[in-house]
Amino acid sequence: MINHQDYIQAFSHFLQSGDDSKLSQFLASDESTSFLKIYRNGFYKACLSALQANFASLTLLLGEQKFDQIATQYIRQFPPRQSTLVAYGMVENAQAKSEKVGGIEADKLNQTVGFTEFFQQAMVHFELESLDKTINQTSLLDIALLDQAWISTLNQKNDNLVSLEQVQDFLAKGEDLTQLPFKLADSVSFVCLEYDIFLYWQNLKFNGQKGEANFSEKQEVILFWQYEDSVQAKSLSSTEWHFYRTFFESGSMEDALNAASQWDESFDISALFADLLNASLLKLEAQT
Amino acid sequence: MDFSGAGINLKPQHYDEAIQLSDLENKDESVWFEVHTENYFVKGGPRLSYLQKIRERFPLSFHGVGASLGNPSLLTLPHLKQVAQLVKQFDPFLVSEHATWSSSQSTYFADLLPLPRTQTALASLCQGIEQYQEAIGRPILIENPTNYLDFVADMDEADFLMEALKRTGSGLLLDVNNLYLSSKNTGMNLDAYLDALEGERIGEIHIAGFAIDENFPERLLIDSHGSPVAEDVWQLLEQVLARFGPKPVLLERDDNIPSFADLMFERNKAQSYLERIPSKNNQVQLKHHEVILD
Repeated sequence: MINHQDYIQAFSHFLQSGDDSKLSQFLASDESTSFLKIYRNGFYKACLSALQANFASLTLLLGEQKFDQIATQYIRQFPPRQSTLVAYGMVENAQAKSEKVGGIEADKLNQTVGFTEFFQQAMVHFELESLDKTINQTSLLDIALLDQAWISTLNQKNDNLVSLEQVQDFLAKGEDLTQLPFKLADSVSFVCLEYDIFLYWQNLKFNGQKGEANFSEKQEVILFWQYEDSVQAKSLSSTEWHFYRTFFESGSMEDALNAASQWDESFDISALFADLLNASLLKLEAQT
Repeated sequence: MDFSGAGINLKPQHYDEAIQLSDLENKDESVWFEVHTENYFVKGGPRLSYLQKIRERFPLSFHGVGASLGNPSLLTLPHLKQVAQLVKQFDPFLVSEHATWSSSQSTYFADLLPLPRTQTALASLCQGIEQYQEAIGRPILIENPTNYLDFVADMDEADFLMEALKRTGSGLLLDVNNLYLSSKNTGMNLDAYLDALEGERIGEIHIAGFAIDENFPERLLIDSHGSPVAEDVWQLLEQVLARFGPKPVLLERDDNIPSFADLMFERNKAQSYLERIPSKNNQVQLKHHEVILD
């Protein structure tokens, strides 16, 4: 009698290693094991397609062949740990990382790492000579981070947003806005870049054009958020970054406004608040 | 309500055009859409918003590809939790999955992998179906796989599937493209297969295009969903509809996606096949939940 788990283990071993020796006993007597590779190819093809879709600009910049070389290594070491490929390659909760796998931080629960982190470690082993000289490992990582932020933002929940009408209501009731439980919208995320590569990435992402690599080593912070079901992104000034970072970390708008004002005395609080409202960047946390 | 229109599996690039169909003066009430359930395992954003708009306008079906019914794994419970949430939110008129496996322990192999047709595999499949049905509170349809080669077997595929359906109270999603490819790839006898099916258990039919394998062009046809439906598959669809009566027919296209208009043209051909078949009141009867459209 065939043991089902023996079959599953033999098939899993084949998919991961390519070794079909344990699987042949489960084939009908006249079958050739050579057809089995259809399934292994299907597994890799699906994973590669998902990574290419999730890191579309990076794929375009590197070229499909080089991207696939790196991505194939990633699939081997970190196959999907969720039964969907929608977010394959993304590790959302960086704080969950706590173990080392092959020198790379791994998520404690599912023993995986994000593709960007793997890419950072792995790309030193791959030839990048065919690329523009300005494009180096750090700027490639910046591109990967921007791709990841775009997809993550796209699929985020974005409830309880604050409207202008609500704020007008609060003001009419004489409420102190700084004391209300405003938070940044759930879709908000930040990407800290080593290169001023944001415009270059936009051209890759939305126009599919590599163009001239006219960026330089200059730190830039990009704010990503969702607005009416589409992803928005903008480069933040130093003052804005002080505001957003403090707001994000402390959850206090008052602290954030103080931090921004201390950084830049001419900081226009009311203009920023209007921007936050108009762009649907604020939510109101339910009061208990 | 008896429903047996032709539908399309909906891709994001066609959301707007699909929604516009409902604005037409003479809206075709037989049109419906199917989506891959796992593509909506997201917290929010435009995918879910569009799906809501589609659901408000058309019958919607969920077709799962990642539940690994033939080998429940560590990924099963979180998977089923997400499916249940989506089913509750969107109340699709059909929910289906595959008689395959795709996960082992905590690894998802992202493909529809074959089951040997043995008693132990059958028991594992039934366990997976029951777990799934329990999680979403209604019976599901199980799709016959594409076979590329033969594994050890205690029984024929049709008997294997019918036994699983009987034990679990589920229905059959008969993919006639898969059936055609299995007959070509492994010599499966189509007439014997169809003879063994219980027509009243068929709740949905799939059609799709296939490709010829580059490495084994004389031997293997691949279930690619990347081309129009082949003439042989149209003929098999006609044969199946004549034998079992009208059922919801779904045109699948997952690769080389053409324009929405081209897909609708092909879908309309399926609809014309359905309209040529006299109704036999053959609506699938499911154990816990009738297939009812609002």
